[in-house]
Amino acid sequence: MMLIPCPHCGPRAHAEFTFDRPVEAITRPDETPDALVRNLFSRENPRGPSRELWRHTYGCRSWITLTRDTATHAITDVRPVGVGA
Amino acid sequence: MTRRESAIVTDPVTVSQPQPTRLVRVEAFSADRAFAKAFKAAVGAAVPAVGKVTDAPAGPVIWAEPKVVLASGDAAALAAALSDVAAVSDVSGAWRRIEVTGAGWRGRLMIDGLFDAENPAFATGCVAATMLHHAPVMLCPTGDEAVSVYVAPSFAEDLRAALAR
Amino acid sequence: MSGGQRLSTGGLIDRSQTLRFRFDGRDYTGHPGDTLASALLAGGVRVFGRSFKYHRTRGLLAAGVEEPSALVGAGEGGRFEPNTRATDLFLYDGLVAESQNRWPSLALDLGAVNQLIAPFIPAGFYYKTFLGPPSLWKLYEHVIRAAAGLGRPPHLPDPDRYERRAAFCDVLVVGAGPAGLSAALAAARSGARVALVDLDSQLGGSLLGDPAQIDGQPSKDWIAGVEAELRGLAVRILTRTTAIGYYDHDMVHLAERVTEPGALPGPDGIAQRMWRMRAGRVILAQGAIERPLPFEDNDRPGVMLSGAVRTYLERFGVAAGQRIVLATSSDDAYRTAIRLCDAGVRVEALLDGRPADGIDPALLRRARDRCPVETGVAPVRAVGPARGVTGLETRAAGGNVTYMADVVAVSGGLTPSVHLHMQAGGSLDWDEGQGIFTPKDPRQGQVSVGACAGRFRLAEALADAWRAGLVAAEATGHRPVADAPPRSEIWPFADQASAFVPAPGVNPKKVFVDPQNDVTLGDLDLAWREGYRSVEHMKRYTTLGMATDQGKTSNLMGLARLAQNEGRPAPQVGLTTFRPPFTPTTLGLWAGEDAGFHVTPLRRTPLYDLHAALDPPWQAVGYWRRPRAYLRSGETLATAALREARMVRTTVGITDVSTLGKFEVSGPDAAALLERVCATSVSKLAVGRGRYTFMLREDGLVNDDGTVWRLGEDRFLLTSSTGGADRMAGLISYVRNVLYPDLRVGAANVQEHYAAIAVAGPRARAVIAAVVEGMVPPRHMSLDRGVVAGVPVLVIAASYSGERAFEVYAPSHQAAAVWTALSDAAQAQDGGLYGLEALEILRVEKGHVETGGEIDGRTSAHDLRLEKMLNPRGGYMGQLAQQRRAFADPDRLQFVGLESLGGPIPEGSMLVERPGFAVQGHVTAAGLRVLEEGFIGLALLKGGRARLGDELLAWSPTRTASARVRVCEPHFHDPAGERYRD
Repeated sequence: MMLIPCPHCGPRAHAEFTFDRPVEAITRPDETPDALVRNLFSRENPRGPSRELWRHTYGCRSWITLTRDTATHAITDVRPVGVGA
Repeated sequence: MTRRESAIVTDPVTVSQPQPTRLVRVEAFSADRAFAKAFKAAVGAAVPAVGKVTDAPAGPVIWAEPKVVLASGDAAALAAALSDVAAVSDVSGAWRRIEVTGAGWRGRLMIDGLFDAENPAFATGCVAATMLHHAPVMLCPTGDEAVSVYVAPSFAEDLRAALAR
Repeated sequence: MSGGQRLSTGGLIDRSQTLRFRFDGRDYTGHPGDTLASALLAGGVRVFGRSFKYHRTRGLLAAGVEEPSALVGAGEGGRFEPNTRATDLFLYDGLVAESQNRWPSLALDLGAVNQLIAPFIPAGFYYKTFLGPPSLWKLYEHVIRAAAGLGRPPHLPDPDRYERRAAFCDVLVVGAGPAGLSAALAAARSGARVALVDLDSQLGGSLLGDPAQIDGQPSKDWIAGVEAELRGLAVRILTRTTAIGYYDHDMVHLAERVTEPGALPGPDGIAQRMWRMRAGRVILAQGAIERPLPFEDNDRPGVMLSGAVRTYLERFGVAAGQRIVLATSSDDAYRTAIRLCDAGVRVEALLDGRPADGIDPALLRRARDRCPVETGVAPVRAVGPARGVTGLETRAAGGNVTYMADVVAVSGGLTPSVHLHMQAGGSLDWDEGQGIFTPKDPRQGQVSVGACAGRFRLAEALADAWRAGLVAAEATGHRPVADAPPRSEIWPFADQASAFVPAPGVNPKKVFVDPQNDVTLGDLDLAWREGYRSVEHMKRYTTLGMATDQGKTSNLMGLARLAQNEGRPAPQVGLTTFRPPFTPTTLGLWAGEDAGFHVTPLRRTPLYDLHAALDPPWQAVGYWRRPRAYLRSGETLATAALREARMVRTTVGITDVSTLGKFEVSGPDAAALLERVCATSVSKLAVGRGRYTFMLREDGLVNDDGTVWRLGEDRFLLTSSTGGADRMAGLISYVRNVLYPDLRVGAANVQEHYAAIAVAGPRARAVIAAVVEGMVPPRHMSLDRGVVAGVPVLVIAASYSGERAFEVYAPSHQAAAVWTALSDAAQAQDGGLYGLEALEILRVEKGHVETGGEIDGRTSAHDLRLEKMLNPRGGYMGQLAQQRRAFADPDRLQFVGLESLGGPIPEGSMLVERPGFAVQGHVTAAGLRVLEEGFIGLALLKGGRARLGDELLAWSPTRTASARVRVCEPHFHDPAGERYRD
C-alpha cells in the first residue's frame, strides 16, 4: 500500500486517504453544462504523472493535491488545498 | 506440540470501558492572532500546534484539522465566548474515550493498525488521527504507560473488545 | 540397502530429546531441530508423495522452501494444512502428517495408471479433449474434480487466530544468512531502527548447512554473537518469518509462523501473524536456490540437490543415502562430496559436466584426495524403479557408464533469488556463462546483497553486505560506523557453468523440468511447436512454474529451453512476472481477525443494547444493525411489521433513527454554505423553523435528501439519510474546503453526537407533552428545546410516516434514559416500538422518496417530482448540470405510484405491457395499505408523470411472481398532510 506524505500529519498509509478525482475534474458550479460534462467524465488517464485531489479522510480530514505517477506510484509535490493551504 | 518463542514482547495492558467525553469542536474562521487570543481567554490554554495536544483546566485540547481543534468543556459557553472568531459545536456525544494502560500499549496499537505507535517520538502531547481495527480514532499518549484512544460511539464496543483480546 | 540414515554425531539437532510423530499411519522419531523431511529421511523414507498428473513417485529434492515434491498434509481437523513442504515444517511431538495425491496409498496408487496413457496427456491436453458431446460435460467435471489438485482442503472451521500487525523500521533486512547478518549489524551499530527476518527457525542461513570460519571463530559462534549484539541494539528479529511480498513504497509483508503447521498454538491462540512492515530501506539477502540437471527420469526419488544433501548432513546429521553419486556443473557439489567423504558416507563418484581445463586444479585435487572424480561427464538417465533410484547412467567421451547409487546428488549451479527485487519493480542483468539473472536497478528502496546478488563467495558477500548496511543507515538519517566488516576464510571455488542443455541423445519427453506439475522438456518443445512462444504463453500452456513452488527450481531451465528453441538469448525471451506471495500463505493470514462474526465491523446505535435486550431480527444497513421489528410471541416478521405500522397510524410508535446523517453548520456564512450544498432555499427559514431539502450531485442528479432546521441566526442542523451519511459528509467537506475555503463557517459532523428517536402517530403529541419538560410540543416543521429525564434534548416536528411526528435528539451518551421515558409514555398511550419494516411500510404509503430506492443516482429532481422546491436563486451544486439535454428527455424514468389490481406487487420487478415485452421501469418499493385492504408500490417508470391511469404488469420471472398494476400518484395516505399540519 502506498505511503502518502500528508503536509500536516506526515507520511501515512494509503488506507487513511480517499482518492477524489484528477485535478482537471474539479468543476465549478457556474460552468456550462457542456464544460461540466467534459471535465467530469472525459479524463486524460495518463501513463505517467497525474495531478490528483485526495483527502486525508481518516487523519486530519483535509484536502491535498499531489502528483502520482500512475506507472510507478511515485508521489511528489504534495500541497494542501483550500482551508488547509 | 511445540511453541516457538514469539518475537512479540507481550507486555500486559488493561483496557477501560468506553467513557463519555466533553469535547467541543471549534473551527476558526481564520487562523489568526485574534482567534488565538480569544481561544486562550475562553479555554485557558493555547491553541495546540499541528498534531499536538495542550492541557486546559476543563480537559485536553486536541488538534484535529487545519483550523479545527477539539476543546473540552461546556459547548454553549464556548460558543458564546468565541462566536466572533469561530464556529463552535457540541460533539461530546460523537466521541468516546478508551484508556489503554500498561507497558505494552504501543505494541497493542500496532495490531490491525496503520500508524507507527512504536516510534518513541510519538509521546505525551502528541495526537495521531488514524484507523485502528477498522475504526477512525484519535490516539493521544498520556504517559509512558498510557494512551487515550478516542473513537465514535458506534465503533467503541468492537474496538474495546479488539484491544482487550 | 538404500535410503537415508541418521549419523551418530553431527548436526545442529538436540539429540538429548526425542520427538514422536506419525506419517501415513506409521510412527517415527526425530529430534528438536529436525524438519519433518530430515526426520523422515533419517528414518529411511524415500517416497514422499506422488506427482500431479502422472502420479509418479516423488522423493525429497531439496532442504528448503523451494522443495517441489515432498508435500504433505499436516495436522488434523480444522487445523489441517495441505500442500505443506516437509522441508518447511519443524518437528514437534505429536505431529501427524500424511502424503498427498495418492489413493489408496502412497505405495499403491491407482492414479499411477495415468503413466500408461502419458503420451495422450502432455501439456495442454485438456484444451484438446473433453470437448464433446456436451451431455458428458457433467461427467467430465466429476472426473476432473477428483483428479485435480494435490492436497485436500480441511472441511472444518479453522480454530486458530491470525493476527495482523503494522510495523515500521529504518532498515529491513530480509534473510539472516551471513550477508543479512552482516548488513543488519552494520546498520544497527550505526543507530538505525533495524528489523531482521528469516524464514528459518534460527539465524544463519546458508551457514547452517555450510559452516565456515568468520572473524576467526566457527560460524556457529559468530552467529550467536551477532544475534546477541543485535538484540542488545534493539533490533527486531523475527524467525520463521517469510517476506512474502514487496509492495509500494517499501512496504513488505512478512508472514510469521508462530505455530508450526498442524500444531496447537500457545495460550493466545495465534497460529500465524502477518506483519505489514514499512521500511525506509530494504536489504535483500534472500540467498540463492540450487537448480537440478536435465536427464531422463530425473524426478525419481533419490535425485536430490547437492546442497540439500550437504545440509541434511551438516545441519541434521543425516546421510541422505548409503551410496551417493554426484553430478554437477558447478564447484558447489565439490563441497558436498568432500564433506560426505569426511563424514564417512560412501561417495561413488563426483561427475563434473565441465571439461577439466574449466575447473580449478586445487579444487580437483581436494576432491580427488577423497573420491573418484570424472570431468566432461554428463548425466543421461536415472536408473531404478518407482521406489527409488539405483544408479545414474552417464555419457563420457569413452561411452556410457552407469554408477550404482541410492542417491543422485545434482547441481546445476545456483540461481540468485530475485523475487522481492522484481516485485519491487527492479530490473535484471543476465550472465550467460553462469546462466543467472542478477539484480540491476532497484526501483524502490531495495538493494540486494550476498548470493541473491550473485556474490557466491562468502568473504565478498560479508563485505558487500556490510557496506550496504552502512549505506542504508546513512540514507535513513544515521551516521555510519567506521568498523570493519566481518572477515572469513576465502572459499575460492564458486564457479558454475549453466547446464540447461541435456546431453545429446537424451529424450526430452523424459526430462522433468517442473516435477510438481509434471512438465517435461518435451512439453516445452510441444508448446513452442504449437505457437506458444512468449514466455507467458509457455508458462500457462504447459503450467511450468504454476504449482505451489512457483517454479523455484524450474523456471530458468524452462526459460533456457525457450531461448534455445527461439534462437535468442534468455534476457530477450524474458521472465514471467514475479508476484507475491513468495511461498504459499494460508487464507487466515490475510483475513486476520476479520473472520466469522468480525468479517465486517459492527456499528451500534447508542440504543443498541436496549434493542438487543428484546432480541429483534436485525437488518444490516451498511455496518449498522437496526431492528426490523419487535416480534411478540406468535408473530412472524410480516405480521409484526403490519401490527407496528397500524399502531403508528392509530396510536403512537417510537423508533430509533439515530443512524441518520446530521450536520451542525454555524457561522456568518452558514446559510450560504447550505445553499451551495442543498438544492432548496435555506436562508429564508426563520429561527426555530425547518423544511424538507435535497442535495444534487455535480452532474445534476439527486444525491440525497433530508431536512434542514434553523437553530439560531447563524446555526443550522442538516439531516440526511443513513445510507448517504458518509457520502454527504464528504460532499460537505468538499464544498466547504475545496470550492469555498474562504467562507466563515464551520460544518460539524454530529451524526454520532445525537441519538435520534422518532415519535409518530395521532398520540405523538401526548407522548411528547408527557415526557419533555420545559416546552410544549412544537408545531409541524418547528423545533424547540426541552429536557427529558434530566437530559437536554432538541425536539423537531417532522413526519416521515405520514402521521403527526417528532424527532427527539439527545446526546448519545445520555440517550438511553430518553428512550426509556418515551417508550414508557408510548405504552401508556397504547403504543409501542416499531422497527425498519414498519418504517418502510409507512413511508411507502405516504409516498416519500428514499435514498437507495427512488434516489438511485439516476433520477433528477424533476423525475422525483421535486422540481418545485428547487431554489430559484440557484448557485447550488448541480444546478446548471440540470440543463443537460438528457434531463429533458420525456422518456426518463420518473417517480410514480402503483396500485395493485390483484395481489402483492413483487418488489424490484420489471414494469412491462406483457411478459417478455420491453421493460419500461421497475418497482422500487412494494407495500400495502395499512388501515385498509390493498397492495401498493412505488416505481420508476419511463415517462411516468404523463402516464397516470396506465395499466401495466409488474413482472418478476425469476420469482415467478407478477401483479397487474395501475399507475397513479405516489401518495396513498393523506396526500394533503392534514394529519400533521397545523
